[in-house]
Amino acid sequence: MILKYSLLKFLKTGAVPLLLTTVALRQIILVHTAGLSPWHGGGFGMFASIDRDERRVVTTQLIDCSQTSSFLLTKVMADYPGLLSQDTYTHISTFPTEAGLHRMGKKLLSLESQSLIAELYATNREKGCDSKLKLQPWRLVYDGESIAYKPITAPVEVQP
Amino acid sequence: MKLVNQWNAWLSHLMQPPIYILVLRLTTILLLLHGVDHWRWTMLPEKLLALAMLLYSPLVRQPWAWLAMGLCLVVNNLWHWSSLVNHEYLYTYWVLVCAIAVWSRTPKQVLRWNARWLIGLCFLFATLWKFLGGEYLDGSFLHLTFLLDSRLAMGAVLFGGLDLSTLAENRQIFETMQASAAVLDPQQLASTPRMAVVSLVLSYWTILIEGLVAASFLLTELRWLHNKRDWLLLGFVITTYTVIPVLGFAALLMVMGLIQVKSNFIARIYLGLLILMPIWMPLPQGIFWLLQKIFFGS
Repeated sequence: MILKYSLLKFLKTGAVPLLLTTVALRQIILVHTAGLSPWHGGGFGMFASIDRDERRVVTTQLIDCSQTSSFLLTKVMADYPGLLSQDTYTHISTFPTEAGLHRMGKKLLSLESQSLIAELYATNREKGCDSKLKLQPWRLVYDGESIAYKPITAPVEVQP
Repeated sequence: MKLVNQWNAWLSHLMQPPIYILVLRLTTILLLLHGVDHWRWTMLPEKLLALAMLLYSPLVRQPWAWLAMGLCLVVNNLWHWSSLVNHEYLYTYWVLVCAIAVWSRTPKQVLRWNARWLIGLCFLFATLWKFLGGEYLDGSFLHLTFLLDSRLAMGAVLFGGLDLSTLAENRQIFETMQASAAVLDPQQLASTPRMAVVSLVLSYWTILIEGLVAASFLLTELRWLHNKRDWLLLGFVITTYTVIPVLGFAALLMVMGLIQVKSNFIARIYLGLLILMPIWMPLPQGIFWLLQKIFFGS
């Protein structure tokens, strides 16, 4: 009876505030350890940081034996909408985990994608050069005069 | 005068007890309207349920309806957790509170208690973030936001002495930098010393008002401050959302404010501001847009 009463009281007074606190603390931890944008994740960090996901960039480079080719993911999205959706890109730039970047890199390199990146990779391979895709997320910073980009995590190298 | 009397009579009619029913109905309206500007198909069940609750009013008192609504929102939150913004989480928490309230024998008390805590906690974390990020303490967040965010163009022109063409050039510089992924080439933005000072002052004002709202809602022991909590919240809503209109967040804060307030006079202010929100919130931006058209033709 006492247990039931306590449980009901907790449900009515403490459960939802505790849920808010737990989600917010989780968000703070993820922002500081896994590169989550402070604007998302339920931690009430909107309008507190320049680092909003819309202002982030994920650089994509194909490194082969002799040169490095850069690709714009926004262009890849526009040219191959079936390969990389806006939702996937938004999720990756908001929460750029190593696993997520790896998955996206594999997708970009898969031959079925028929993207420019995959084509260049296949051409290099035919020439006997095993190239790799390097993905890196960047955030915007401002020092009062200039805007610049700063890496969020170390680059992730992907091979099919 | 007649109009004011009619308005007051209408508010009195809306606020007839039990007030918690009004709060549940208002929540249902907000649930139907919020997020329509960034529609996702996963929102369809919650919108249909909200519509049903509005059209068939006894549903608003049904615990199962609120439980189903809570479930819809929780699923949506879990699915899109990384792309949702603050107030979308707050909507989910509030619907869960509504579900618990209609199950309980004391719905008003449950709503009132949780509203106070949710407002207090959300402002506490918002204040905490201002310190964690560090970009508030040196004013750089607001400074850059004034320079790049078109919603703050009014503030940049009026307070910072910048002109619209400079702001457009700044935005162009950033957009080009981002679109070309030129991450290794810093770019200088045009600003004024006044803009930097104003940004710093407004940053500390924001920290102060958000911190005070958090403290006044959470610390009941500080009687004097706690008694002023509604004025602080109203002050925050009016000063912040007329500059950056975030209708969904402001509306939910008004609904939660309405149920936790004890004074009938302040309750009427909450309700009045909520009803008139589509008019007063975009008004300053609208006037600024009109002045731009008249004087600058842009």
